Amino acid sequence: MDHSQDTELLTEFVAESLNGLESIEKDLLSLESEGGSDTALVNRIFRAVHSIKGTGSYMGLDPLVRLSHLAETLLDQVRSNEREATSDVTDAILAAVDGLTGMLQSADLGQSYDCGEAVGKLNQVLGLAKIAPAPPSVEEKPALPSKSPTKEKAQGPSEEDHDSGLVEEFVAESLQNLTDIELDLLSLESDGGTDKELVNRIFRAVHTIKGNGSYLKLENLVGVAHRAETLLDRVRSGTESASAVVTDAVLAAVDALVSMLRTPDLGATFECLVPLAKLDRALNGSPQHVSSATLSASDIAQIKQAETGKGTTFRIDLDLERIQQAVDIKEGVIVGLSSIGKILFTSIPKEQIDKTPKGTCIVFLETVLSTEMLCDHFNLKPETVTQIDTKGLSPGNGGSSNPLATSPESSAEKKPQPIDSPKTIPAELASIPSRPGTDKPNQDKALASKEAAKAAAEQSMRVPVHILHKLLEWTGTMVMARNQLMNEFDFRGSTAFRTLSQSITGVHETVIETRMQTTGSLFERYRRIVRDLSRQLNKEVALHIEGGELELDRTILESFADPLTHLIRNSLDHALETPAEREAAGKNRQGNIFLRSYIHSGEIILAVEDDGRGICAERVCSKAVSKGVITQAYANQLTDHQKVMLIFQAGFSTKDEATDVSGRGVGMDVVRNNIEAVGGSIDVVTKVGTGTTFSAILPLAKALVSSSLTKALVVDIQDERFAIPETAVSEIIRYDAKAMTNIVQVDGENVYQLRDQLVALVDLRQALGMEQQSNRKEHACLVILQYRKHQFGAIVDNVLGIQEIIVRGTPKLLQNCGIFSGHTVLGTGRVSLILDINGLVSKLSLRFLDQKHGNSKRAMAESPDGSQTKNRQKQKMVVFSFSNNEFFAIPLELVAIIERISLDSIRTVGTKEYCQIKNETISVMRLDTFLPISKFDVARKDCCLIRPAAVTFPLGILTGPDVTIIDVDDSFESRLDDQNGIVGTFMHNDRLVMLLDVFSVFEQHAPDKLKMQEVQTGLAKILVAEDSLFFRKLIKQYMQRDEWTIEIVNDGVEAWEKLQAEPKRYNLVISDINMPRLDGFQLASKIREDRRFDAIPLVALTTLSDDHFREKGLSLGFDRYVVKIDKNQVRATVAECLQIRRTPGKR
Amino acid sequence: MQISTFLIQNEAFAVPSLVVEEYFRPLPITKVPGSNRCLDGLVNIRGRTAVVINMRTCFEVPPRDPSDLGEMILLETSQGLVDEARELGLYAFDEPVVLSVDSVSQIFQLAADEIHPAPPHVNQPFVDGVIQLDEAYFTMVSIQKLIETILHGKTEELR
Repeated sequence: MDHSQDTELLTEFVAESLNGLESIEKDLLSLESEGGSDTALVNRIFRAVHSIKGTGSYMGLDPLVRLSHLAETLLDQVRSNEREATSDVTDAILAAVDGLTGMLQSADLGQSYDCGEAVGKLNQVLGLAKIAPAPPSVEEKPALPSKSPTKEKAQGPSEEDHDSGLVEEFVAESLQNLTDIELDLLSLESDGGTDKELVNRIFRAVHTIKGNGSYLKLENLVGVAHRAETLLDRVRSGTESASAVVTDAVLAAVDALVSMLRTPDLGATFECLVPLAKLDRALNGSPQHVSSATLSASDIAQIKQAETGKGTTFRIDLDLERIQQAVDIKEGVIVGLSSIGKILFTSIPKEQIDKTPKGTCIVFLETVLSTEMLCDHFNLKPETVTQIDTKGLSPGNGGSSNPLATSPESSAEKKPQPIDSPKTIPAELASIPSRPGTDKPNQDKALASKEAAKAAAEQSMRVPVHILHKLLEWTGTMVMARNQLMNEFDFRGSTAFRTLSQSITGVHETVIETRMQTTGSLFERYRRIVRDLSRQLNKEVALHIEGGELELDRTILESFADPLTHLIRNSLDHALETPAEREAAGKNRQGNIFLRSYIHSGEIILAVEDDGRGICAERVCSKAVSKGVITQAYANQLTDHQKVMLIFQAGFSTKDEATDVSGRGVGMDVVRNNIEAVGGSIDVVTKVGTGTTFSAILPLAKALVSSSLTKALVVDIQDERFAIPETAVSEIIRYDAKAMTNIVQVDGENVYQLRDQLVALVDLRQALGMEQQSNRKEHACLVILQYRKHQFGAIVDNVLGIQEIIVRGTPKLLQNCGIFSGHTVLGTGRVSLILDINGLVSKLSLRFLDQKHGNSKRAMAESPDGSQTKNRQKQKMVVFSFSNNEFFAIPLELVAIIERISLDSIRTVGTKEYCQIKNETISVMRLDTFLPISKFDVARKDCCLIRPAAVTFPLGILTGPDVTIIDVDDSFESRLDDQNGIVGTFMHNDRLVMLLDVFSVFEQHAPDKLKMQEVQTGLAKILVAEDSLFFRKLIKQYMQRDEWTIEIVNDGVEAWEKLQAEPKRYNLVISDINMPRLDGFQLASKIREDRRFDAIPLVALTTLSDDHFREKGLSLGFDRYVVKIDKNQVRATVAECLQIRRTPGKR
Repeated sequence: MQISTFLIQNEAFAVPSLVVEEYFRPLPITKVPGSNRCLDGLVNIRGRTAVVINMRTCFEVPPRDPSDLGEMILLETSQGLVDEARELGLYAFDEPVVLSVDSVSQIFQLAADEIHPAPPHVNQPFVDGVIQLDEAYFTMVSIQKLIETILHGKTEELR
């Protein structure tokens, strides 16, 4: 074995052990959460620790072995039900896991690692606290191997005639075999010893070792192996069952053999009395009885109680067959024993002892006789008699003082000698007492989990990442070459090529699969952090994991590990309150943290949500100002969300005193930087008193590692091909570049009218700085791209279709371009760049026109202090001029389309004007007809036609050419009473803008079309929930009718409160859908759940005209779903609803 | 040490042969909008993508006639360097890079002491030294300086 192999082996060992430790941790946590009752889990943890110990001792890592040994001992006690899996135990084991992890991660693999804390904890739990914290015995023990296994093998027994190569081979093979045997034994034990094939395998492996060893004349080794073989042969042939004693003995033998193989003389001088004794005992004894008898706590209590203090207490392992033949006790064993002392305890009920012909019975006898006299008297073998100090006897006092599980030798030595005696450690190492199958119900479970573990072990192997990288790289190249071939030649007829092609695809997919990992695997790691921290901080916290099945490339997932840790620590420390505080705030004592992963509009989102105290925007802001992060003037301009986002600024920490957990100067800015480093971003949504959600956002395109396959839209810009990730493309529109159909100017920029929304336009030629060599073809294409919640249009020369491309990273030399996420090679063999949508947006500093009224409302609902922001609610207004100095506004949500027309296209028919747009005749409305305003400036030929949304007949308001969209506070001045047609006025850029009462204007424009036909309804009280001031006014106007009493409230919560206060008061409820606090959908479900309101009709009055909203509304209990604005329809619906009698219970 | 020479507007330049992977006839280049002006774009050489550095732009020489595509020199990557090159401490970038030159020229064998420091009047940022062979002079190009300058976007130094 040369040095490099050694390193490789070590690396392997470290990786495997770290994996193991990780799963131990996970298992421990689930063990704790279910109260420590799952035997299968305990067994699994035990096995994992044992295998770390085993491998570690093979590597000669003494400190690591010592620590894992202690942990193993403790676990064994849990496993054999001698100890409950209390949180102290879990703590100690977790400490050990941490210690081991620390060791494995240290440069010298823990040779100089200080694990005093973990050892202390373990010893404390084990009741060995008085003994030195780190038992130094292993180093002092002469028989144990020296540090490096490599050297020893080189020094192998060259005095023998065998060449050292052969010996090395033997050692390597045997060690491998022994590892397998150990694993098999543990599986055998956990499945209750029924698996014949396993027994056979173990037998064959031991036999091989014996055979080879005897060829090499390693007598000592052969001695051990032979006995183990004999024992196993009995098990194999069925004369012996695979009981705990048998497994125990064979495991002891395995440990001894491993130790021997690692000594320079291959065990020739190795002290192996303990395993031999164990094997002998197993061979001679009748294990059936033994396995059913164990000293429980009550047994020990019984012994202690019975003890008189006269004489010495002995433990006698009675061989019943032998003792019954002893001449002196013809009268019976018990009587015989009683004659010389007091029987304190028997493992088999006394009256049955004489009827049991064979087997071993453990007897505790208090007598004044010495060991020798006792042996002589009853013809006992000396090794079966042990002097016991009952004071040190407890069910949980280490494997060595469990009288059943250990050989007499070790017990005997245990007492007088401290743990650092040279012999005790091998005895302990060899003792893996166990009691399989004692718990019938758990057996199946254990079996199942064993099968699963076995399957998992067989299915996974560790491969260095760089090999996977290379493999993927080559596969990617293969796919690209294949695509090129398909482009160049016609292979349609060739089956061979098809097979080749499919294989290449298959290989590629498989390679990608090897790298994928679920987010759940990352999330599970945080259980431990949450558990430990919540205990440390005296908080009660539950961690919920959702969407853990999302798969990401491991390397990318890993880059989120640290930021998420930080966010979770932060939530625990700062956000979540103590149980007392929570109770005081009317919350559940237990705080919750949610870890979620999901894909939303082309982005992967990993969210950490808590239901803690939330972040107060004002506090953050004032803190930022006091820390000099921002100026007060700047702070005044910030929205609440922006204020909260200040926590991501460098040098920011809101908690005044830094705690142990977070706030050590490493702030949220590091989290942000880490996430941004992988091309992601971070966002936070919080509400004071309710909780906070941090979201790490990564565009799907960024989540692809080099050489993965993805779908992309290939476009042509100035004869260069570019790829746009398919995830970013929402639709493709062919449009006439010259006519500029559907393009309007907003704020001096081109904006495309896409159905009912306006999208910003980007000419990619200009954006990419490509010189205008050829004139744009008449029919260019518009690719509508999705960026977060926004859309924008990119003008390209042509679209070549969607292709599967291999993503390759951006060469380092090109990385500062910022608008490419990578490149690919197309079928033509040409390199093609992949556009990075996020990069493009930030490079061009694109602004989005937030079209949907819902957006601003949603933002408000999420803002920390609803009531405060209420007054400052923004509303989007379309502002236009009619004549030069008079400006009008219409709420954006009432606008369907803004058409650019020429005055020439307006035709006059009688007194009415019409305009033909796309085969539709639209009635043109001039505001000066109804309002006392200036005449339209006829000198201007270009103008716009604003078409209102949700009006049943074609109609357009003629406006000047400049139409802009602005944000307006809801606090406009009302002029409702003095002017018909104007709802109010507000100031914008020092200009007075008049807010049109659209409906009234329309009614005046076409009275015949919108004439009301009133239905008699009788007196009615109507409750209206509407948060927008504008609509409140509008609705009030709509509903003006003598017999109707209208009460308007601000949101769903207020409406619900009103209903609760006077359930019988209202005849009808009208509700908006988008509202803060409680939206219309929620309100409807609440009302419909309450039988008292069965008879009240519900009308949804909204601007959400999409069918699925309508369906949702109706399914939640709305009787009618009316889109705002059409006064006629609203009134008619209300009247109709007041007529009907609801069928109670109907939804 | 062996050097590979090439011409840029009739001036002779050289790089160590050990850092050259191969010469090849020009391949179609994909332009990269917004990249450093010394870069011509990307080429696909048998499945590997390489960045093309235009040596004329780097040395502030007017561009070639568009019909003259010149020749291309693919440099070794740092992983591909042979041990000898490593021992000599030769520089290589870790991604494939191509030098676009007018034409490749001869290969010479020379001793390390034949490379002299650049005379002070040579005011070019990417020069490691000069070589005199008989009557001919060659300018030793510093690939490291060239790449690092582009990498760090110090375009002002390119002027």
